[in-house]
Amino acid sequence: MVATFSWVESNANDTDTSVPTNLNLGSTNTADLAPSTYPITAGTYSYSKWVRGMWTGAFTRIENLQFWMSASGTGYVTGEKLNYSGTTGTYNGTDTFAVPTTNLDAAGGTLKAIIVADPAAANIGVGGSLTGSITTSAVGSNASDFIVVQATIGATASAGAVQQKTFTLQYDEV
Amino acid sequence: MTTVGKELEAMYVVSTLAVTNHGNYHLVTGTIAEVSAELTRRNVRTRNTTYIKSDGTEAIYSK
Repeated sequence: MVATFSWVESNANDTDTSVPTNLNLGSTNTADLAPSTYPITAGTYSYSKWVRGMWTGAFTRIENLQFWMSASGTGYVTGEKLNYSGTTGTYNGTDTFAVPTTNLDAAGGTLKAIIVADPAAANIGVGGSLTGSITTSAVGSNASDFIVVQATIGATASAGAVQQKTFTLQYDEV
Repeated sequence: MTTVGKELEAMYVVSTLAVTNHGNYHLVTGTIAEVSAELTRRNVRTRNTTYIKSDGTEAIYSK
């Protein structure tokens, strides 16, 4: 049997089940926002995005979650930077959900520059541990820890669209 | 064991628009398109816009 994967985005509560089709960042706290309608003003931060992987269907175990920015076109524009909550180092456990804001590092000072290559080891946890695994599709127990992503746009950034990014979440299914 | 990869794309737009209140007027700065859109959003008629820089990146209008 094969597990069925979906992304889940939280905008108001950690129990939200909104399924995003993109991870567009902007100046509003909404899934699938229109970037041109909600641009990020240079010198500020985007609203943070809080997403998780969720699995349903029949499976034995989901584990070894690895998340990275797998494509970014020609790269960052001047003043642009993306931070995220993953790490292969000391894992502080799952970030407790907080309604997204435009404050710097809405995850509580734990965001780091997003990596651009497969980390080759788990950098997103399950149940607060990088070695955790999902063993049931029961609601409430079938999702990863939160993945928090936030854009930092410096005052030197020029107006206009940035390069489209692609993020990849890789996992092992047993 | 199967290794699976799932992708999600992201896009965003940078705005240089800034609106500052100077008491009896606002200073709106940004690209031509941004300033134009902001004045439209604020329902400011062009004739109320007292100054636009020659490069079109700055506008001042009365309240």
